[in-house]
Amino acid sequence: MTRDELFTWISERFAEILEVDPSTITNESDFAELDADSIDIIEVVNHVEREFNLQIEEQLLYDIATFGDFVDVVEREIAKAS
Amino acid sequence: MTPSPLSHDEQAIGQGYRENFDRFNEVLHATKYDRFLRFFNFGYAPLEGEEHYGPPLGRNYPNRDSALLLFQVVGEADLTGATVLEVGCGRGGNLGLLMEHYDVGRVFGTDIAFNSMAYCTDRYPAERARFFQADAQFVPVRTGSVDAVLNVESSGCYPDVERFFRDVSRVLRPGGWFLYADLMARTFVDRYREVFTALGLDVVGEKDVTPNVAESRRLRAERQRLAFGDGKAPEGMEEWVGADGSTLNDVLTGGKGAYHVFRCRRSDREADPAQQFTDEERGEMTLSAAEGVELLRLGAPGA
Repeated sequence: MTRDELFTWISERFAEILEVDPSTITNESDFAELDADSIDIIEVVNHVEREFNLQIEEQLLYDIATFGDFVDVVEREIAKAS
Repeated sequence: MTPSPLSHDEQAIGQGYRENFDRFNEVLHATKYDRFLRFFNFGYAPLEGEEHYGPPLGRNYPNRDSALLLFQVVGEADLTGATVLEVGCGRGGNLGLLMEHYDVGRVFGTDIAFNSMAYCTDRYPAERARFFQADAQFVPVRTGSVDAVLNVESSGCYPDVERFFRDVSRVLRPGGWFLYADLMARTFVDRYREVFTALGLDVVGEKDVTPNVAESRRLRAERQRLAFGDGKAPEGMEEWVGADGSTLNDVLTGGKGAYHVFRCRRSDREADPAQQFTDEERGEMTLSAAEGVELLRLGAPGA
């Protein structure tokens, strides 16, 4: 899966959770501006972990600011696991 | 086997809480939040412009309100290298934070819920943290052996809180810290201070954090209620999270309750062996603990 494909897949899941149009989510989207709290982030992490058979260390999630940062973390974790 | 000095009613209250907390763990275990959820308390939200204690946390740190509550309870206490015992440690979130941010030594946690102890044992490294199922009124450690006892939002469940305070006084070394917070009847705040002093626990810092805890509930309770039931919160979850309209929220926000932090140091004085709380006060606290058992009974999944 390319990064763009990964971005699209995660942004669709995240848009469902936040009940927003996926096209409003970009790499630069700030979690705070998206009104996403830690519960939303845990929810999308859960989708990612099930889909890609991963367990993401929660410390990796504490400091990420933007949606693009999150996709980067997931991309790295997939690469590590494969 | 030595008979328990607790009455049948007091033992039944303990058993009730054990069942309630074990059941709460089961409910959480079935949700996707299980591995992230390490605190069972109402949390603390700084009010506009208010200074607060504690290291910075990442912006997406889960359980932020609960972490901030711990930081306010610890305050300026220096816990470097300290052996810390938390009584009523639940899922161990507080001890995890102390290990991460306060450079403590070994930590021990006790809780009445078997499921919480299983969760903690799986999660924290055994060389630094040990967990035991135990009744808070019988703290299972040696006299004068710990540097700090932590107790956060737990003592309201104890039918004989004085027995617990006596055990805290017993297990602390002179100079050791008792770091304590709970929601209590507002009329008891002054009495607690007197009782601590009589038991050799000198109050060196305290703060009424009721408005902060109420703000934390205003911001987070409903969200948590839904999340902890994966969208189908069991009946009774509103009390666990202190949602608007719940009995516990009414106590917190209606003026009857005070959420109070006490920081005490163990003096060299012997604890006064005489009973400190009056029979009437003891009766009131036991009744309140018994009512809590009923409030926190979780039902079937709801809407």
